[in-house]
Amino acid sequence: MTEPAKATGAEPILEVRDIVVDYPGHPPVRAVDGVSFELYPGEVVGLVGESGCGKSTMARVITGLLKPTKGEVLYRGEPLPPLTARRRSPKYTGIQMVFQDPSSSLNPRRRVGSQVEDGLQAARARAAYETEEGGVAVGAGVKELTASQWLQRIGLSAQAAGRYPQSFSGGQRQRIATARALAARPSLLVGDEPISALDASTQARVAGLMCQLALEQGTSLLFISHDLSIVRLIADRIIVMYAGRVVERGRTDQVWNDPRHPYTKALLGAIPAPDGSGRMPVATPTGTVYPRDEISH
Amino acid sequence: MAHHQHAAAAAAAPTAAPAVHVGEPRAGVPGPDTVLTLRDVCLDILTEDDPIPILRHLDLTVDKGQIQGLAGESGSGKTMTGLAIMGLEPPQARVTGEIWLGDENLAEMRGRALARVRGRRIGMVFQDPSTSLHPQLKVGHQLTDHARYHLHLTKSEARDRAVEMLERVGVPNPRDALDRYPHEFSGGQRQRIAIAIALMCKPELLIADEPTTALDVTVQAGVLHLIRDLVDTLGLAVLFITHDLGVMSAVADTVAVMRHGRIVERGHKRDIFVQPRHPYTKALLAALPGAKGGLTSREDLRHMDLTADPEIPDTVPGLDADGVPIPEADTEGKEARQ
Ligand SMILES: Nc1ncnc2c1ncn2[C@@H]1O[C@H](COP(=O)(O)OP(=O)(O)OP(=O)(O)O)[C@@H](O)[C@H]1O
Ligand SMILES: Nc1ncnc2c1ncn2[C@@H]1O[C@H](COP(=O)(O)OP(=O)(O)OP(=O)(O)O)[C@@H](O)[C@H]1O
Ligand SMILES: [Mg+2]
Ligand SMILES: [Mg+2]
Repeated sequence: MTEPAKATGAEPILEVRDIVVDYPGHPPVRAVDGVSFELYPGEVVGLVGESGCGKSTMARVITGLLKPTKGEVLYRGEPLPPLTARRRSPKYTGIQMVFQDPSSSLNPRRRVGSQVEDGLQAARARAAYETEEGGVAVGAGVKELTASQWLQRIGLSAQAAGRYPQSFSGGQRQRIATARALAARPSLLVGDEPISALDASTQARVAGLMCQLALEQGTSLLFISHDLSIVRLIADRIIVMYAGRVVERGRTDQVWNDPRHPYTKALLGAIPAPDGSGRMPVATPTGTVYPRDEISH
Repeated sequence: MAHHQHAAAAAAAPTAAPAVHVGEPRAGVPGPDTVLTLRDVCLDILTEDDPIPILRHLDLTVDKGQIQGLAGESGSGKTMTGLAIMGLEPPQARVTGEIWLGDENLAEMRGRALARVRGRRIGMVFQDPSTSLHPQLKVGHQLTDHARYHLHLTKSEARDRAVEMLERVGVPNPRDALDRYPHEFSGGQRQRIAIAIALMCKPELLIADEPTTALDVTVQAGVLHLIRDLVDTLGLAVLFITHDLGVMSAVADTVAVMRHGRIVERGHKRDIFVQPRHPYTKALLAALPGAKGGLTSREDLRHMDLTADPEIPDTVPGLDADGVPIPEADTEGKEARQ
């Protein structure tokens, strides 16, 4: 990632085009209203935006869990089939997701070690599949870690493998879900608020792990977060969503240092400073509506 | 629910200390305005082998009109502290010590009596959204059910109050929201609904466990203002659990920092942030993105050594287990506890 992937002429690993998602209702809710972007190999893109603006909906579309009302998703240049069967073809296990609510994505009846083991299995199956197809397996040449080692990497003890999800704290469960996704050696990792429940030092650890993975094996990372201070560190580019649309996008330093859209400005202005001063962040007056047009850099 | 055991079954209300200003950091010594007092609270998980210590000798007070922050490492026991106060700890847990809400010792109550106090006097926002919200019940029902009973409201009065609360936490189209199910909302919207539910019955004490983790900072600012406002105008007492030190700095009056099931440092917010004493508090502040000596760039993330043994055990080793006592650095200058 020394060079922006785009400049090297690589093909994008993911392209989403004009995605529209309506949820049924009276009237239907338009959660996403024409979103397009692409992600290049090894690139880390931060997706930020207002609560309820459609970030998790986009994550579900990208991972094939939700069929968009309109638009298409291309993974490695081909349309992504909807995820209907219980088991995914090994071809698509390269897409992994860490869900916003980790408790509901971990199976309460299985020990966490064996759930991380699922990720390892997926990686092996895909390596075999890709070798068969004549390609180079993702993660080839990268040292394989055991489930316990993955758990240690995210800051849990090796003994954690033998326990059930309920016996962990909120932040620990979030990290277990991350370990499972990382163990699958994804080429595309969609993290929906993957570090929102963690204290600062644990956050740094998990962000560091994801960042190193992107570097080591070319994983692309779509990092959904409301915490701009960490997005700023981890992301190459930032995409800002508001009310179902992309309203601003650009290189991280551009968006951070020179926000152009009024919503982005509000977002940067409301980060509370950890300085003990007791200054309250500026609250947006209720009823504030921002323009939904994109402002480019 | 677990059976609480008591070192001493003290029947009397906690002894009042000499007048102290509201929000003075005091370890478990109640003042005239104290709403919640924890005294020597321990929680162990009972197993076939030795019990696993989770909370160690917690002392804590929260006054009327005070926001007591609880920060600390992931897995340090913040959520367990909140659950123990509510009597909602896991079934294998054993809680000892005193938990006073005004002059009632919750640690001695159980069953219906505790449920009644809980519903009427304490509001709780759970860290896990699925604990706060029932997936098969409409949001309106979940908001109004207890309020009708505790506040003696008619159905339409309760609905009006629910709409008002949803509006105040910033849920869009609050009247329509009442007839929708939790899964029809985004993560942050669900979190705001949970906050509205916790505040519906006008509690004396709010226990908010990571209440803004799913909110973007603009919405978060609105929620923080709302809580501060209820504290300042109605004298709500708040135990505010958060790992986010920016949020802590904005809302809390006093802060306690937890690690390995203990409070390792406590004090006025200003002192904790400006002159942290305990090495763990210092490390936590140093880990903030942008902090001096902390992470400032992408390069720092790339070069972080992750193969090294994590210094963060996922269970509390406790004093006895690892033989390394963690001194409590008390900004009041109290002696370090063993
Ligand atoms: N199953 C559903 N039925 C109806 N509406 C829905 C459903 N799921 C989501 N929505 C609506 O779609 C919009 C986008 O939701 P989404 O979960 O994608 O937001 P988000 O950006 O992830 O927000 P947050 O940061 O709060 O998690 C919200 O307004 C939400 O109310
Ligand atoms: N049944 C159990 N067996 C062993 N340890 C347990 C059990 N239940 C909980 N724990 C441990 O208790 C500790 C405290 O958990 P708690 O949920 O209170 O942490 P927390 O401070 O809220 O963390 P977070 O910030 O991640 O939410 C954790 O280290 C957890 O692993
Ligand atoms: Mg979401
Ligand atoms: Mg917790």
